[in-house]
Amino acid sequence: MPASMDGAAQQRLLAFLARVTKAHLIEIVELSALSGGAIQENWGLTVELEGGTKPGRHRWVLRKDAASGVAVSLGRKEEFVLLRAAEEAGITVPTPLYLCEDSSVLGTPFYIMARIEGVALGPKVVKDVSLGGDREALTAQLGRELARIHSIVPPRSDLAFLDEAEGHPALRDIERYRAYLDAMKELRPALEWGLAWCAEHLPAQQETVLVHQDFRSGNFMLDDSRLTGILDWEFCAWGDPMSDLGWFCAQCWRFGRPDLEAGGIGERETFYQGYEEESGRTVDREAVAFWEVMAHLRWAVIALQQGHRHIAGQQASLELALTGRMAAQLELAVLDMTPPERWGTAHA
Amino acid sequence: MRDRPDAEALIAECRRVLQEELAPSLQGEARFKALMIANALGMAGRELAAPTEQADGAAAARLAAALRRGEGHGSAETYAALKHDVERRVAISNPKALKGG
Repeated sequence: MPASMDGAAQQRLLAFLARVTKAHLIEIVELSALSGGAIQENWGLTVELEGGTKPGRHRWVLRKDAASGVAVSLGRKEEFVLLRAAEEAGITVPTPLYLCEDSSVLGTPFYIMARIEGVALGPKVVKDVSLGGDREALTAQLGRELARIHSIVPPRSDLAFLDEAEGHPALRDIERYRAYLDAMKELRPALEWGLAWCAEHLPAQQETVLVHQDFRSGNFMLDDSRLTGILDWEFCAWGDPMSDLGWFCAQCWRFGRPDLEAGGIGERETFYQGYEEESGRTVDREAVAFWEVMAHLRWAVIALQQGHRHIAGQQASLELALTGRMAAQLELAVLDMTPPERWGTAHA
Repeated sequence: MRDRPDAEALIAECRRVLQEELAPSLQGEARFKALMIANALGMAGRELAAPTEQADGAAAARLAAALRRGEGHGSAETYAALKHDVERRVAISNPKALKGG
């Protein structure tokens, strides 16, 4: 992504800010690239506003689609609406402020949200236990945050863009992963084994709720004393609540602390307790175990897809290349969870 | 017969220089990239050194298709073969993941 925004774009951004904040004087104190990928860009935006609805200095994040963005996940508009729904449901998120759907301003739609401080990087969040306050309290809070996400249920006219599963949500995912493997011409018998195990051991279907689908260590931010926000809402869909618990607890997201089964952060039961207290729902332990197998299958397929972006020459990247080679260890994890003795009995 | 130091030895030496001499003086993004390169070189070196097992693509294709059709599910024999193949690949890509299992 570019490190700076050209003058003409900044002028159009100023005009947009004047319109939404009604400020009579706006100064852009800072506008710098924070991070970004092939799909979206994040810019740190600090402004000084005089008059209007929000006078004073503000530290914001401007999040926009990359110019070359391919629509594989939700767009910025949908993400903005989800953040608003999340905040209303009491989830710790960066407050969404302004949405601009007009592509003539910055080339693609974008939105502005409050800038939250802290560290999100998975390995760092797991390793540096000085972050986020007491780990047991944090683990329970993460359970409560997830429960609040799952308190959002269909039908919701504002969330009408979300995908809804026909039939069993796991079966839909299994069919999808098979199609992705076929599209890549990947022959992965170990993944086929895992997918077959899942298809034969589907858990009882739960109610349909909003699922985040990437709720894990690495996608929430911690400062020195607390959780400052749940991030990355672009994979949300209607689905099975236990799938998010499985993704969070899956061994592949524990970043070197396999003993701390709740995301490398704390004890699994502490996380479940926070979730159960907030949701009033009982965690179906067996179903979560099933979704942990699904989590490794999903991550393996995504890793292969990322590797293929490099192989196919779409995006030369050592990081993508190495991610592709992570598939083998995920296959091993799948096999370890589905030995022959776990095939005999169908799931209750 | 290859001249010495051969490809494996050259890769191993590149990796050592990167890890021991360059990476410690680097920071941030540059350090992250240096460690990624060291990781990739390690993998490439192990792949070159691994005994060449006849990679039978046709057999893998048959097995994948059979499992997709619903054959061999839960079979101890199939499982052992899968495990052998995956462990061989993990020994190259991330040997640390083997010890954990």
